[in-house]
Amino acid sequence: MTLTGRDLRLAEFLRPGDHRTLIVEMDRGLMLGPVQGLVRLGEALERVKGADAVVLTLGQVKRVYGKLKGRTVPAPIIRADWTNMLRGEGHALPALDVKHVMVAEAEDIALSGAAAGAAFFLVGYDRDRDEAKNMEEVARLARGCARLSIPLLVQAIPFGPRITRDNLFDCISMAARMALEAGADLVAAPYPGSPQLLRELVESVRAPFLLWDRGYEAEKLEALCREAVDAGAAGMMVGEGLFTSPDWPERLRILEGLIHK
Amino acid sequence: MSLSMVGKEIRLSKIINPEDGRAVVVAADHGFMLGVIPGVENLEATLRKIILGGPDAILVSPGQARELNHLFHGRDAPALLVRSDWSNWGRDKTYTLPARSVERIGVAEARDALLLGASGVVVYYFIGYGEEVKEARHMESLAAFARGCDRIGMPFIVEPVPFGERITGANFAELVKVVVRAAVEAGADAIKAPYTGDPETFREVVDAAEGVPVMILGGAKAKTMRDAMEVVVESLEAGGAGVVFGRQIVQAEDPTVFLTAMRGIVHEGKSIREALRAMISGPVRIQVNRNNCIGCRICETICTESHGLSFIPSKARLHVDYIPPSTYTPFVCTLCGICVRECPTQALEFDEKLHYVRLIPERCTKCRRCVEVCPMKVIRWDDVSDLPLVCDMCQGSPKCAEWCPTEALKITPYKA
Amino acid sequence: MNLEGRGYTGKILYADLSEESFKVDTWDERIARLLLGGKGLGAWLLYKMTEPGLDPLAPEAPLIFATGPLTGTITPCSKFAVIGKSPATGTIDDSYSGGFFGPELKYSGYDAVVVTGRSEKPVVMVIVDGEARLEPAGDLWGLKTEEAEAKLSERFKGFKFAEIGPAGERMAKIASIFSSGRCAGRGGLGAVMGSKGLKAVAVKGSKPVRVADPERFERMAWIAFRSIRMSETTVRSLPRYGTANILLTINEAGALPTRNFQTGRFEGAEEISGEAFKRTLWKKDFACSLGCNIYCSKIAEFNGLTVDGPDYETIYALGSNLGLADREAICKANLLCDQYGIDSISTGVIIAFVMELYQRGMVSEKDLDGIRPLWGDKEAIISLTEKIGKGEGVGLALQEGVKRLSEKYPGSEGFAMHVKGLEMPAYEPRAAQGMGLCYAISERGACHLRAYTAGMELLGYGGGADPTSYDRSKVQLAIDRQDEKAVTDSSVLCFFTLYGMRLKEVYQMIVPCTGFNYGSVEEVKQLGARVITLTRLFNVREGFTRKDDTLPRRCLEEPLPEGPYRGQVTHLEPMLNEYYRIRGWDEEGIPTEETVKKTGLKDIL
Repeated sequence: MTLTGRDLRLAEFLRPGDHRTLIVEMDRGLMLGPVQGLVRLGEALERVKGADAVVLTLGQVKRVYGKLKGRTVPAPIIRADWTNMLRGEGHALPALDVKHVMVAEAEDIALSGAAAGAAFFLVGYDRDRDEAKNMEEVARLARGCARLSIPLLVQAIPFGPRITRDNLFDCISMAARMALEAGADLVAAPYPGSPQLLRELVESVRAPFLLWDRGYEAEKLEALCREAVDAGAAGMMVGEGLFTSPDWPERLRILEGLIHK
Repeated sequence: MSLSMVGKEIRLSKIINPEDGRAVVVAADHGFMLGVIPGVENLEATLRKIILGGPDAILVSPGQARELNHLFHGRDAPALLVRSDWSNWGRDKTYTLPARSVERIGVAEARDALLLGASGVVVYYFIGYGEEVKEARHMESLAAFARGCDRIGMPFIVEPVPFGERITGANFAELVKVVVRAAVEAGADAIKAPYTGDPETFREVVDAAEGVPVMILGGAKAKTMRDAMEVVVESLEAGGAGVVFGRQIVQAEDPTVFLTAMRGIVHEGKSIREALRAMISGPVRIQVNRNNCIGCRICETICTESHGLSFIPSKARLHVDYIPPSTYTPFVCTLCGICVRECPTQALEFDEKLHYVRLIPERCTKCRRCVEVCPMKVIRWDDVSDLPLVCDMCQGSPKCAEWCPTEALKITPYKA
Repeated sequence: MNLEGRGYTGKILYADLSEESFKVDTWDERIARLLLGGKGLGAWLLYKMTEPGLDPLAPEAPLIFATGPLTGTITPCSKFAVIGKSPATGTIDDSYSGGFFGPELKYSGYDAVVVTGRSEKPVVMVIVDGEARLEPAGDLWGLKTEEAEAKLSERFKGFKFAEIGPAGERMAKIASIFSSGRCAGRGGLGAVMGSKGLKAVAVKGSKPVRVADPERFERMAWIAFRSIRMSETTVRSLPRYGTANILLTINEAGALPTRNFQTGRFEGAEEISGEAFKRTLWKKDFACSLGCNIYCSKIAEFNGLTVDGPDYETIYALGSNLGLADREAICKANLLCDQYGIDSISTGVIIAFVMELYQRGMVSEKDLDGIRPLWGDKEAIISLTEKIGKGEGVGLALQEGVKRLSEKYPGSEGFAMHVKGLEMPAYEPRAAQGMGLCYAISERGACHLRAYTAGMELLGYGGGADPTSYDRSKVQLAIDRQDEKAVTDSSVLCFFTLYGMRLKEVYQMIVPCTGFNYGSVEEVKQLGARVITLTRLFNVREGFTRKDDTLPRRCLEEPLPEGPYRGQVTHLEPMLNEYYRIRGWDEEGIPTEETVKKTGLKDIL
């Protein structure tokens, strides 16, 4: 099984110079509905120059691929799954019971010309059966991606009432490790609570590690970014919250500057 | 829009620039077809130089795609194209074990290209086989390959090659049209075709492709860079989508400079003169290689023409001396500056930027000192204008050297 | 409209050597538009200025040096043309030479010089920037060509020359006109020049040649050069191996005339091929004319001597056709021809004829000043060449050409290899049918540089053509080549430029040069056809008809003994019928009234 395609595709967004990357999630429409700043996806894509990669759903890729052409635009990463986990209190219909399903396969990612696939591995499910299902789905996707030499990014995210401030680090660490063992090529996870813990987390994850944040608080985002870089992470993965501030392209540029100085 | 089409579009856009619909591509798969030829012994070193010149994509064999994959990492790197078939047709009489019958086999599938991270695959389409069954089989294989590429969203670039004794000067252009159209109908996403020789017939080829980009093979025929550029420009004007260079670049003295110049022409709208001039920045001089001079005096004739004197070689600002039976020596301005120094009224001066000698007619007292002192004897007195004829390097791009057919006169950077 | 500044000077110099007077006249734009210059202009002048039956060596006979509109510009390969009535054949003769005489003539202010009359004492005509005069040439008379030019160069610094050698002075029918080692070789125009007591013409000029649309012209000239540069033949083959680049291929095809056309394959071909010369004797490549980027010319160094060449035709005529495979000997014979000022092709064929006569026991050493002309005997060959060059001993008879020689030996006409009195060149017409037609219908006798089909028939150029066919398409091929050649002869460009560029590139240069708005390449090709019809009219007026468009019996009746085309003869009649038909000439080969009208010639003759 050759890894060369995988490496080449990774290098589309993990810059060969500093091995760092800034990824932006623009796929939230699937999970949340229209998000402010992302409603006109095409226009948003034209302005998202500072990012190395953008996460998009298959459905959107078929519509906005025109903005993904050439070698100066961010690399597309395909969102391969769906969850209602992100629909919290503020949402019109908050999730009663967190679910996770697959919406794309490795073949689809290959077909689309994307640089990688992205999927969630959530921990904190009430029923262990759900966690097992999530793992099975991630593992199957990882195998499929490996067969087609496509890198897989797994977002290891603890959620729900079973996660406390005390066990946060351990849960993230466990989920990240499992994602890696299942075959992830990059792992993204939320802030574990302190710079020290972040450093430990980065060290324990052997693959490139990205700090993930939903991006709703601008100053927090920049601070996190700095910490991520200091801790030796490979960059950041920013969620849909970024787009809710009107000057998000500027914010993005700042993040880019912090990561790729 | 199917996902496969999306994939093809996105991948193809890494090869063919979506802004101008053109590409400068380098083919470096000769080692696969021909064995070790100059330039491919250390392919990595050669490709590194090539990459500095900024090509849009590089074509290599599957083996090299794996070995040299690291060269293609990053958005600034060229896109990777994989050769998915092999043939012996290039092995003519000058090679060890020349081909006696032309054979072609597939060596990689679309899926393999995907695994290698390629942005596209390139396949041959030969026409001119002595046996018709071979052409039929080739078409069958091509069509199957096209379907495979469709299933995986991999752009499929066809290289039609009319070859063999049934191909003549008379039917060549016609045949290029035929194979290009056939390739399009078989599903080609782009085409790499021989230039037909003139813009009119090439436009017909482009029309036959109905929008599928047609890049030309950057001629091994072109003897000079300028000729290669002219052919590219002609093809672009006729609707071509750019150029694929092979041996010319792999074996060029300075591939980086060559490619930078080509990119200037294909993507940056530079004129040939601008592109060539950009290759040598700053002042130039004319390097004389006496052994190459054949005494054609094109240099003398074009000199007078470019100074508004039409054609009259005896008034050129350089001259070719002839010593029977067959020795020719060109004498050109060497920028020695003696005339500038010796002119009593500073009527001759060096241009500040480009360091050529310039005459200021108002200051000339017609003393003819410059004619006397020029060590090359290239300053002549013109009775008609009553002024000296002094070489001004054509203000930066000496025409004599541009037109010299044997590089007896060559434009090189001037170092003080 | 004035022709000046459109490639032309618009002026013709008429020199009368009897009266020692000069006259300058302009010429009609209409003529230029219809006939361009060079061959076309010369043919028209010759037609208008002469009566049929004129003795080519009479004082009234005009000798015309002509250029074309492209001469002296930045076109590839500017040559010059010499036109007159051939003393060898009695037909019109147009001969072309490299050297830099042509451009210089243009710079001196003239599109052409017409020489009539006869000077009692040897003279050299001197032309400087429009001014012409005659100067005594007593000290030059008798000198070999190279010596004469050397002396002339001392006397006239910076001039270019066209001169004759001793053979021209004594009016040998195979005498040529030379210019810096190149020659207007065939048809005996050197004799015409000698008959006028004109040893040389010296020109110098400083008048720039201007063209109608300089910017476009420069661009088109660049494209012309580029297409020559990008052609396999002109950029690799000819520069490397000279015109002898084709020798081995022609020999393979069994079309290399050997031992007076007794066969078409020479066993010594390898030793005298371009590759062999390149390996051994050729030391330098050079351009023979202004703007030549093909540099097929070579300097050979042998036995302490140098010679320009030898070219393919010379290697055949003084080599394979004589059974000689000795390179140095061929060079020596070549040098002798150059120095004495005779056509090497005719010289070689004459010697070959003598050798066959000897082979058949029709002559003996007694008749040949004691020389035994055995095939491949280099001493005999060099001896005979020298005698012919000097007009010494048997040379005096031999210099008259094979036609006249064979009249003295009944039964030898079958193998006297000439047409109309001009000896045959280096392609076997039984192997390449098109060349048989070419030799038969060329205006000046057996000349290959007209309807040159050999390129396609034997060398595979332009897609190749079946050498054995003699059908309509073969005839059309010959006509196409002949028309194209007439265009380059009227522009006065070198024959080889058309191996790199096509008529299209020539047309693209002619239009911005002259300002003539020819609508298409086809129109320019028709100009070529017009010039051919004009030359035909001259010949017809001299009494030449179908009966003269023929080949020696060897070609028509003796099957080729070996090679891929063994067993073949030339099927001339069907080709001739088709040729006349396509040309619009009647079955006797005479242009019909309608044709003369259609070509527009009627208005200008």
